[in-house]
Amino acid sequence: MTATNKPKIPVDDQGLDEVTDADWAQDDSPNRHFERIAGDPAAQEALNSALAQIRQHQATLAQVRKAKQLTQTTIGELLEMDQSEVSRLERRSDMLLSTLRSFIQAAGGELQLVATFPESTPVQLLVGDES
Amino acid sequence: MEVRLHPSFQRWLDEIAGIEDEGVDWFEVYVEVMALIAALGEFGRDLGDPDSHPVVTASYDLHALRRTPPSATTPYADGPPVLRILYCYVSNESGDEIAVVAVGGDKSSLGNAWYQANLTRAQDRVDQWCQHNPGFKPIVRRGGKR
Repeated sequence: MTATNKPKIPVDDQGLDEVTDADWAQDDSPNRHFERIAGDPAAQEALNSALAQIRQHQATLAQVRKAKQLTQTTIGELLEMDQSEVSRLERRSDMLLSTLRSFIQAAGGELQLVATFPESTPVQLLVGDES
Repeated sequence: MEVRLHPSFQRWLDEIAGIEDEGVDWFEVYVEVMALIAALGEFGRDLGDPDSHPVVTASYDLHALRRTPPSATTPYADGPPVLRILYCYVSNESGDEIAVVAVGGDKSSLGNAWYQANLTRAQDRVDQWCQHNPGFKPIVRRGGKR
């Protein structure tokens, strides 16, 4: 790296033909990196706190429910569903918007849908929002 | 979601983890990249804004992990890095989906121009990864050609 008074992050520009067979033989799961971080308590703590921040932005339905300290049974009572149905609902990757909206309402929240477009401002979508 | 790392991307990770550059702690950046990758493993396709965003101009089902620094109070002389990590979903015939992380970088000086060069690099690396992992093919974005 050339000397400069403005340190820059290295550029990830290795060419396709520069990857050797030995490189391909290496484990390509992220485990080696997590182990390296785990070997340094300060680094592990930094990783945990960065991950905690990310988790605050991201939540599955189950995580939303747990964050509100609700059980599947409680949600089920509010939605007039069995606990087992709530369990299945939380693992579903697709569902009616009305189902999703009532789940969020049961957890004490409000569902908002935002459509984003390149080069224009986000739009709040009003879909079947009659309740 | 299972996550795999292209060897060139791992080389870049190792480089960041290893350098000590005029008092700048790049290991901290390495840890933040790995936190994003851990989140990708944890949430898979559910990972969304602000930590992951689809790259809509790509032909493949390409997404960018994002780390935008919270403040300017950092030791970096040229401002903290605005990290973008490109990854792509690939699948096999049984429909198993995994995420292949292809390219990382700092877009602070290039802005959105960073994507143009790196999008192609990412897709080429994903192709190469699939050649070495027979059975897996990149998932092509609806309407995407390649």
